[in-house]
Amino acid sequence: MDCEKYYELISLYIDDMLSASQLKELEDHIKECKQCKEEIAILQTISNDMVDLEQVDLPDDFHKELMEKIKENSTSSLKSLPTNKKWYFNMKFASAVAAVFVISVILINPFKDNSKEEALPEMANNIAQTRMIDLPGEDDLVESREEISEDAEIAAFDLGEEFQNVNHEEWTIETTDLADYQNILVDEIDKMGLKITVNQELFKEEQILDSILLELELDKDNKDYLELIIRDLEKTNTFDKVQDASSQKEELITRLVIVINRI
Amino acid sequence: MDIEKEKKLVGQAKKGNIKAFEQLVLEHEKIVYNIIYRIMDNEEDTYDLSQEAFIKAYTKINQFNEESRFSTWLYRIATNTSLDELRKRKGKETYSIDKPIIGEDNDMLPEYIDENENVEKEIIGKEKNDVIECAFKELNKNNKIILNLREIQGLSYDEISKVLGISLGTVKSRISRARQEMKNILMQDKEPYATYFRQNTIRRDKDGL
Repeated sequence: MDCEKYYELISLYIDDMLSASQLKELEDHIKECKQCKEEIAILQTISNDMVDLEQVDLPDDFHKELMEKIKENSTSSLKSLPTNKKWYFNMKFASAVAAVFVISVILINPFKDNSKEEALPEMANNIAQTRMIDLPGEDDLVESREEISEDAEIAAFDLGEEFQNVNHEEWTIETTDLADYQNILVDEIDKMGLKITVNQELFKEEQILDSILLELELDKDNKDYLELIIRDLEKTNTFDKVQDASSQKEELITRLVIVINRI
Repeated sequence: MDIEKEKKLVGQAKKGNIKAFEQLVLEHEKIVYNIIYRIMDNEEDTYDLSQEAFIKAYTKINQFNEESRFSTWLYRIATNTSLDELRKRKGKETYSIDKPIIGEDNDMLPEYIDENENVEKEIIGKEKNDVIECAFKELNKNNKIILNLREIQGLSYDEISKVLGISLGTVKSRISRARQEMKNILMQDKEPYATYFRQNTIRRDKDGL
């Protein structure tokens, strides 16, 4: 008798996954088929024995080392701007800034065009405004060209107590937005003559920002920095809108523009 | 861990609370380690890839949509991390998933050659585990992964479907096929398998038929 077609039912029987009608079908069959009756006993035995297989114990240092790496991962990502030794700020604000940065990359082109350099902070600021509605104090933003020159020393930067006490309000970037950004980003970077690879597999799995990760031909520091900033953006789809941080925003935009100019 | 506590911890971890994430790590690290161990077959890779899987989970926790249990999502990352690594190595010949662990001379299990009908029960139990272990390592990679999730880690069909990203129907047929492969390996008339069914009552039943 051709019993192979019953194998799947037998497997499901062992896991108690048969429907009533399937169970009846199998029961009817084994009444007249000793081989399948034995098959059930064999597979059941193997299954029982596999349950008894021992689990491997975790190595002693596993947990400790893992938590150290995770802590490092959560604090190191924004310390790495090449010429800046103090690049600590609130992670959520960093995410918002990362959004500004990404959008800036899209809109500011070509990067090396000096005639447009003067407009950069203003543009970046405008973009920031569109995303961070009702931000007070935008008129105070610095627009002078000197402050964004490539050679500018990036000052030590600390948001301090004032920032930590501000009210935060939720501000969301839609993933569909990000999908659009990806397309624009690819086009713009292509125009600049740089190579870019979008990981479509990740894109399909909706890991939009992972898929944006650029294979830009940047020097290592800038590339690392860009990657980190995008990863931070990815980490937080929901950002806080900073109510009273205009001076911080201004400073950050200046820094970002400097980074963009370096690219 | 109950579902409410898990949701709370996930919510806190999404806000960047490392302590909350650590609670989730503690709950699942051993299973994650074992899922990867059963794919990689060696502790060195298992250690590195388990760490990598948890770091991925931490950095991507905001992508976890909470439609499944956190554990399911985590096991999926663990499985994919291991498979990605194997894919990267494919062709580099540093690892062969089809290579049988036991050589012809069977030197890993010498006690099995001197089979003694009167050995104590717990020794039989241990030896039986060794035989099952050998057979398991001979399984093809996909069968190994799915049987580990089902039999050793005890996941439900539904969870397996989500971890592997395959339909319930595919889970059913793959588990069945994997069990057939396991059976065929164990039924071979050679050491260490030749004695496996002899120690089980079913084999005696069969002999009596």
